[in-house]
Amino acid sequence: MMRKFGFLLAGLIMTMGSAHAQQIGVVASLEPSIDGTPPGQASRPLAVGVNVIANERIVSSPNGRGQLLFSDQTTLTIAPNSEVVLDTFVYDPDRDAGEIAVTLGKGALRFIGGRITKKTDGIIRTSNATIGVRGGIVLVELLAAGVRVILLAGEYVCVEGGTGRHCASRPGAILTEEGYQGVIGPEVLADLLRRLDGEDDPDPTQNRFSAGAESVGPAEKGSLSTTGEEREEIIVENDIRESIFDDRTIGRGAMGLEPEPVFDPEITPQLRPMGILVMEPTGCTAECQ
Amino acid sequence: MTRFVFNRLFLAGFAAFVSLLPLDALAQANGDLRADRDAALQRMIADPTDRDAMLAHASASIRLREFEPAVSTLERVLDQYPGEVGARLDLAIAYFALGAYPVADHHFAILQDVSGLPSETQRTIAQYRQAIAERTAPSGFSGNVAVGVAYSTNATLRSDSPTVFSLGVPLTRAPGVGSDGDVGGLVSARVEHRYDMNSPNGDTWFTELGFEALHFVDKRDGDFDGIFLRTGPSLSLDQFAFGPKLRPFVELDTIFTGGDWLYSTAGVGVQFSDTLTSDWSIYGSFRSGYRWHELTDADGPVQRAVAGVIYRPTRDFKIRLSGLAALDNSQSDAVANLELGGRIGADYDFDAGLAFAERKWRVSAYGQILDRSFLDPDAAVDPTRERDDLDIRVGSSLTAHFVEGFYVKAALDWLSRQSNIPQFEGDELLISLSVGLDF
Repeated sequence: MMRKFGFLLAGLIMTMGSAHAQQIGVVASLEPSIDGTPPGQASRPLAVGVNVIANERIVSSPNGRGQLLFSDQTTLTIAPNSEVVLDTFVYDPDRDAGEIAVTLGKGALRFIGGRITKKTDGIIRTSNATIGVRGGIVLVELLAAGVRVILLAGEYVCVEGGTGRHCASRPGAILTEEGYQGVIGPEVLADLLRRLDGEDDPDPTQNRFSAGAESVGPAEKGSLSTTGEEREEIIVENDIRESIFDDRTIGRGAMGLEPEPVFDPEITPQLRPMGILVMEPTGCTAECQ
Repeated sequence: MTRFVFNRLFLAGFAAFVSLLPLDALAQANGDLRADRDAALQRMIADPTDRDAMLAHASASIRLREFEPAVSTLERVLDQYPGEVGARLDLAIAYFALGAYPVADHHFAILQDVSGLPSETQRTIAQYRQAIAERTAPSGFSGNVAVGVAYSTNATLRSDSPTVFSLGVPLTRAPGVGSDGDVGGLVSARVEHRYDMNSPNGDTWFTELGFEALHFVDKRDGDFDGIFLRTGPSLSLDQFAFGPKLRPFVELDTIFTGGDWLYSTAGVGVQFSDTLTSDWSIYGSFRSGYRWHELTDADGPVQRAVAGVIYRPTRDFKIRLSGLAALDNSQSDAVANLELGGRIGADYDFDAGLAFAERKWRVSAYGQILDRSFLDPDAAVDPTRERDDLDIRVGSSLTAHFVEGFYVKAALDWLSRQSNIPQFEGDELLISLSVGLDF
C-alpha cells in the first residue's frame, strides 16, 4: 500500500510543473549545444550532466543535437533543428513500471525504450498524430507531409492519426498517418541517422571499446525481443517430425502418431500370424484363451 | 523385469541430466550481472561521460542478452567517441541480435568501408552482412542435409515374444525369427522456403519439404523412407512482433517401409505459437486429413492435435513439455486407433571452447510415453480383445557445430513397447552418428 501511494505521489509530483519540478533525466551528450526551457523559466543552455525536468522544452539549433538519458534507461536522441517537450516521466523502480510521454514539435528524434516501455507504450505526440512504442527503438521525423516513423527494433510501434490507428512490428517498417509504407531503404536510413548521429568517421586506430557483443555470432539463429523473448522456430520443426517422421525414423524421438511401423502387423506384414512365422500349437489353448 | 529396470534407468538418467544443469549458478550469475548493470546505470546518470561505466553497462547488458539497453549505451559511446571502431561493431551486433537488420547493416557497412581494420574483423563483418542479406531477402531458401550410420538392435522390427496369437489362438513362435540387429545408413534433407508477404508485421509464407531415410545392410524389414511437404502463411494475430502467430497449412506426406509404399496422407491444419514471456512459450497444432494405404484396404481419416509449453530459464536452456492426441479412423480394425501421450524434452546449448566452432554445441534429452488403443479387435490376431500398447521412449543427442555450417550429431534412442497382445511387444535401441550441413 505504501509503495503504491509512493508511486502515485511521485507521478503527481513529476507532472505538477515548475512549482515542484523534479529531475527526470540527464543530458548525456550533446554536440555542440542544445537549449532547455523549464516551464515558467527562462531558456538555458544545457550541458552534459545537467538534469532536465518534467515539461521542459528542448530545442536544438540547426547544427546542434543531443542525447537525454532517463532513470529507466530510456534514451532520447534529438536531431538538429528539432524541438521536443518532455511531457511526462514517471518511474517506480520497485515495480519496474511507469509512464513516459514527449511531444515532438519539429525535427526528428530517436527513442530507445527503457524499462517503462517493456510494460506500457512510450508516447510521442506530434501535432497530428500520437505514436505508441512498445519495447522498442524508433526514429520519428516530422516532414512537410506529416510524421514518418521507422521501427528499428522492438515489439511494435503504432501511429494514431486522421486515418485511424496503424501498427507495425517488423524491423525497418515505415509508418505514417496513412499506415504502413514498406521497409526503409539503406540510403534513407543512412541520411536520417547522419542527422541524428553526425557524420560517421570510424578510425581504425580507435578500437579500445569492446563490450563483448561478438558472442552473438552471425550464425546464431533467430532474434530476441527487447524483453528477451525468442521466437521458437524449432516448434515448427518438431511439430512436423511429430506428424510424419515417426518412431522408426532415425530414432529422433518424435511421438508415434501413426500406426507404428515397429512391430505393427499393418506395416510389417511378415509379422502377421500365418505369415512367415513358423507357428506351433502351444498345447495350452484352452487355458491360454 | 529387465525392461522395467531399463525404463527406470533411462528415466532416472534423464532426470539426472536435468538436475546436473547449473540452473542455480546461472540464475545467480544473472542476478549479479543485473546488479552490475544497474550500478553502472546509476554511475552513468551521475556522470554521463564515465567511460568505464558505459563499458560496464554495455557489457553486462550484452551478457544478460538485454540488447536494447546495450544499444542505448553504445549509441552514446559513439556520440562521444565517433571514431571508436569497437563500439560501433558492438552496436551493430547488438542491433543484429534484436533482429534490427536494416540499422545493423548500416553500421556494418560503415565499418566495412574503413581501411586498416584487421582481416579477422573484416571477415566477421562480411559474415554478418551476408547473414543479414539472407534474412532480409524477400524470398529465400534454407535447410540442412545429413548423412550417417546407424545401428539398431532390432532392425527386423520384430517381437521376441514366444507367443503369437492367430485368430485368438496362442501359438509358439519358431526360434530364430525374432529381433535382430543390423548396421545401416541414414540420410536426411530438409529445405525451407520463406516468402516475405510484405506485411507490417513481417508475416511470411513458409514452405517445408523434408526427406528422411534409414536403410540397413541386411535386414530390409526396417528400412524407412519418408517425404513430407507443408506449406502455409504464418500470420500475426496482434501487433506484437513476438506475439501470437497462427499458421494455417496444407500438408502432404508419404511413407515407404521395407521397400514398399506404405501410405500417403493429405491434410489441412493450423499451428499456433505464442511467446508469453522471455521464459515461457506455448504452442499447438491440429491437423485433419485422409490417409491412403497402399498395402491394405485401410484407408480412412486421421486427426492429430499437439499442445505444449516451453520453459526457457536462460537463453541456452529450455524444457519442452507437450501432450498429444491422435485418432486414426481407418476402416481396417487392425489400424484404427486412438493415441494419447506426453513428452518432456530438454536442450542445453554450451560453448565448446573451440575458437572455430561458429555455434554453440547442443546436448538434448527427452522422455515420452504414449498409449495406443485400437478401436476394435483385429480378428486375424484375436477377435476377443482390442489391442492396447504402451510405448516408452527415451533418448539423447549431442550436436557439435563446427565451421561453415557443418555439424556432427551423435544420437541414442531407445523404445520399449508393452502390449496386451504379446506379439506386439518389443524394444529397440538405435544409435546413430551423422554429419550434416546447415545452409
